[in-house]
Amino acid sequence: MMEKVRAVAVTLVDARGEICPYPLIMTQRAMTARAPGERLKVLVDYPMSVEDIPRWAEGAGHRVLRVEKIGNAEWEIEIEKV
Amino acid sequence: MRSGHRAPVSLALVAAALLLVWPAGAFGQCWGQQAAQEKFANPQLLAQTQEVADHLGDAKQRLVDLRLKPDPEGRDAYLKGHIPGAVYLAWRELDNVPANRQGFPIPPAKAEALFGKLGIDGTVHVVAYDDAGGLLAARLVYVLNFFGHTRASVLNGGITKWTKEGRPLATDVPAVQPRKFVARPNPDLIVTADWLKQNLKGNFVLVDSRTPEEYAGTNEDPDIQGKGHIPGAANLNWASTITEEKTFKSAQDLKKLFAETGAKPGTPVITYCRTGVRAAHNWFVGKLLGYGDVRNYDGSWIDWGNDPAAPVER
Repeated sequence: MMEKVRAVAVTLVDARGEICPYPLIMTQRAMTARAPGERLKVLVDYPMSVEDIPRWAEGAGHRVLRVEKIGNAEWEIEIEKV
Repeated sequence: MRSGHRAPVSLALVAAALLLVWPAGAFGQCWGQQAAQEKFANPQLLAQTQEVADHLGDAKQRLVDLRLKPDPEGRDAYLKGHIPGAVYLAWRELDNVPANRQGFPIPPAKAEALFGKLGIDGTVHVVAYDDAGGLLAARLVYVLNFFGHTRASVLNGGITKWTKEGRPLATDVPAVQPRKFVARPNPDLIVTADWLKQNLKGNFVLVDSRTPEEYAGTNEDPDIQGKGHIPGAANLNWASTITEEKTFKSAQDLKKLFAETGAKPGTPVITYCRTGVRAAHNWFVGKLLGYGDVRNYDGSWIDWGNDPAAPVER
């Protein structure tokens, strides 16, 4: 028997090319439209945003699942709305 | 690493020195981070000294220095000490009455030349600062917003706070690579006298940003015939929005001041003053607080008060 796996909605926020605080603003706007349990995958290439976004997310009570460097100067941040 | 780093060596040294005292692994703070904690609705409009310091040497930050005194005193003050990397702009370049009458803060072609020369294009974040409590910096942010460049902040406390905190000052004039600034006028940020006369009873709050004496018409102004204010306007002196330290008052205090004009959140607001500069400051405060529809009657009293057909209230 295969176990039933509930699909989790993941929304991509591509903030590459944006400087702070705009990646954070884009993330906040995207999060507003999400339901609890849904996730955001945020792509950034501005170093300050790598700290800025998780710090905001944790402060707002969301769950930061992953902050991963995916290129020379690119990061992927995954957040679950709580 | 930040790409496109074109800062001179002296700036790189300042940035390196800052990194030495900054906690390992930290990149610093984005512009507006503290203002977000202080519950401003549009915190990215208000940068703090530490946030600007964290960006010294960052080619994405374009610092613009404005001084209250006209040139040559204004430029001399800049040359005596400015934030490292800042370029100088004489604030009188940011207002033009004939253009105001046509619905522009300054002519679009002039905006393109002026901002392009300062190295401003769509990729940079402008931080404007002054020695006047944000008055002139807010004017620059207003004009930039009007022409479509919304990536701009006022430095809270300006050069006054920066100097008081003992932060680094530079005396060199940075070499700036001109950039292509494309003016995209946003007519929703401005009104003209013609529009205002036709819509005087419209659904908006008119905010007179001058002193109580100017509002009451008890002052002397040889350049303007009319005395008083535009009918229905409430008085919110721009100077009452800042503290004695030349920083912006708290979000709570500013909300209260705006509420006293009758402007509730969601109410369209039109600001004016004598020439549109103090009005741009109150425009900025309105935007900072999250008022969605804020416009500047940029022609202001020098336009309205000299028009015999324009109604006046005292």
